[in-house]
Amino acid sequence: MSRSDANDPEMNELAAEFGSMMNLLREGPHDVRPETPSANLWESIRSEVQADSVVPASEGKVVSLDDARQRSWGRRGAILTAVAAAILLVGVPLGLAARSGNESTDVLLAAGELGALDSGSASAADLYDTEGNLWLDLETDRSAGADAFLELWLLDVAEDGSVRDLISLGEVDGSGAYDIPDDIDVARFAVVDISVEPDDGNPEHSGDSVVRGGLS
Amino acid sequence: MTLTATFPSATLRMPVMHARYIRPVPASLEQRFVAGDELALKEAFDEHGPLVLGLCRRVVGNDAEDLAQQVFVAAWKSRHRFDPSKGSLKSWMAGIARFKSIDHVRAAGRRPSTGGGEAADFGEMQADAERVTDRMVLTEALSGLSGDRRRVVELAFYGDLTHAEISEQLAMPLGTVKSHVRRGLETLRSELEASREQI
Repeated sequence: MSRSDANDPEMNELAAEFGSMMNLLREGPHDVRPETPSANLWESIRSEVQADSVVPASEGKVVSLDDARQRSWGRRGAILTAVAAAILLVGVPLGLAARSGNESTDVLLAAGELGALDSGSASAADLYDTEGNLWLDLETDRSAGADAFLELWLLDVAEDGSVRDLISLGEVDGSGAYDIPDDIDVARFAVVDISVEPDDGNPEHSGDSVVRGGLS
Repeated sequence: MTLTATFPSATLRMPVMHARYIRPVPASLEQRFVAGDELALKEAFDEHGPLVLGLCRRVVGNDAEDLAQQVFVAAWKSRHRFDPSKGSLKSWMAGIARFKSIDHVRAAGRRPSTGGGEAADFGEMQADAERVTDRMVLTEALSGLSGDRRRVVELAFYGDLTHAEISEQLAMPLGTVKSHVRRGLETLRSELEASREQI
């Protein structure tokens, strides 16, 4: 029994309820020394997790993702539509008045931070609409190793994290603008992903994603 | 892929309708982890990896990295069993480290190469693993309490002060001190229970 227990009726009462835990607490802060893991440790975890979950085909679980962000897309789609309407009503006339000639107007619809899935750096992708043509402004310093290339994808992710569908936006050649085909619904294909693809002629997603993030 | 050349970079950086993009409601690390976001696993590793690895090192020594790998992989595979309303991800992962270390020690004790004397110590090692984990969970949970509550609980247990003494030292009403101690202990108990959850 500690000194305070003897002098403090309140402590006696608590001891009846929290007894052994209170004794552990009195031993003071723990003496486990945090240890910075090596980069290898994360790579081992990552490859074990991916080997377990990746079926690199469109019907398989290529990746699993944040469903919370996905769920909010329905609502966000409606907001985007409203914003787009407002832009048409207000922005276009203003834009036309402010700008001379037929210079195009880029409207930022969404921003995406692409977090690193390996130990490398993050990237970013902003979604723009230029007179109805959608495109991504990609910022990345990633490059593929020998006998491989980087490929940019848009994923349609289900609530349970499985990938319902995916489309390729082609090979990544550093930062720049990447067009999105006209018939793609970005409210559905709302996750940007970059994968390392071996030069093996297989057009399917390798399952080896390096950065990924939702457009929001 | 096509590098669209029609947009001068000045236009790219300064869209006319900037600040019109929609910000999502951010989901917590815990929520995203349960939802299966691999980025959340990476974040959890960055945030809790050092402590999990330190715990493994303390309990099993040389095999700590292998064990920490097992802990994170097991946590990921069982993520649907993690309930953020019951406790923190940190406590839950510490609990997985607890069970994995005990399994590891038990398996090592069964190996023929291990001396009989060491095998006999298994009970002791298990108790040690339990104790180290419990103390770690409690300390981490305590440091996660909000300012006043944390100070009160620290003074009561690390400082061994009576409620009246804490009340005087912090110029805080006695009733508030009592309430902080009780609620603080309730939080710590929930975290401890979260770390004992079998996955």
